[in-house]
Amino acid sequence: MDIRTTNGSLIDQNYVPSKNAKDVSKLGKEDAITLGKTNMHEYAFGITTTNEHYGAVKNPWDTEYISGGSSGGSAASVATNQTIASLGTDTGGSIRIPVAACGIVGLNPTNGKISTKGIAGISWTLDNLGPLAANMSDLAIMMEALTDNLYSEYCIDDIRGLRIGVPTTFLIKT
Amino acid sequence: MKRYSISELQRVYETKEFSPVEITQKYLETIKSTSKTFNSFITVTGRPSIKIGQ
Repeated sequence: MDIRTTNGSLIDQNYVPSKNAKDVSKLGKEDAITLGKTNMHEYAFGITTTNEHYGAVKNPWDTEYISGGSSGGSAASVATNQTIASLGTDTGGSIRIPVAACGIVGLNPTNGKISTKGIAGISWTLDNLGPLAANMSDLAIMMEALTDNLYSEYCIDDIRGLRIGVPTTFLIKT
Repeated sequence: MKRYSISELQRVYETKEFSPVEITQKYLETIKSTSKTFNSFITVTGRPSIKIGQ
């Protein structure tokens, strides 16, 4: 709260909320320190983060490329070590796309797993809030803080023998 | 700047290598020098962040 929250828009350029979203308060209870508000696709309605008001977010690996979006600033800030972890919302890929483009990890959790109360949304039924982090152990810790469930114990170093399903038909049309 | 994981940060605080305020300052400095290149931030909180660190 008391932090300018533009939602990547010009309309809300001076909007300062008087209350924290529930998830922000939860992270605060775990002694997380907020460093600011990251850039994003305007109103989370797009996947490029070519924001015409606050500048297009550049891809950390090659600034000629986009960061993906809508949580492009979140992903780029984690990838360039300006933050340790960040939050984003995902309706149609807004966490998954930028983390893939920026080479970090993120999670679009099961719908309803994490409260979206107090978070600006684009869909009442499809928005999810999730963490973005540089590695799986940080992502697990963020999920633990946001849900009170255990995740770290599922982080195992040796994945030999683990069966991984790859839905090739979703990726490559045959 | 070195990349810290969350568990590494806990160790850094416990061994008093750095305080939360010092870590916050390090990150704010990194944001200051890096953010413009990538347009990654809209608002940086600065002093309020350091206050939380205290």
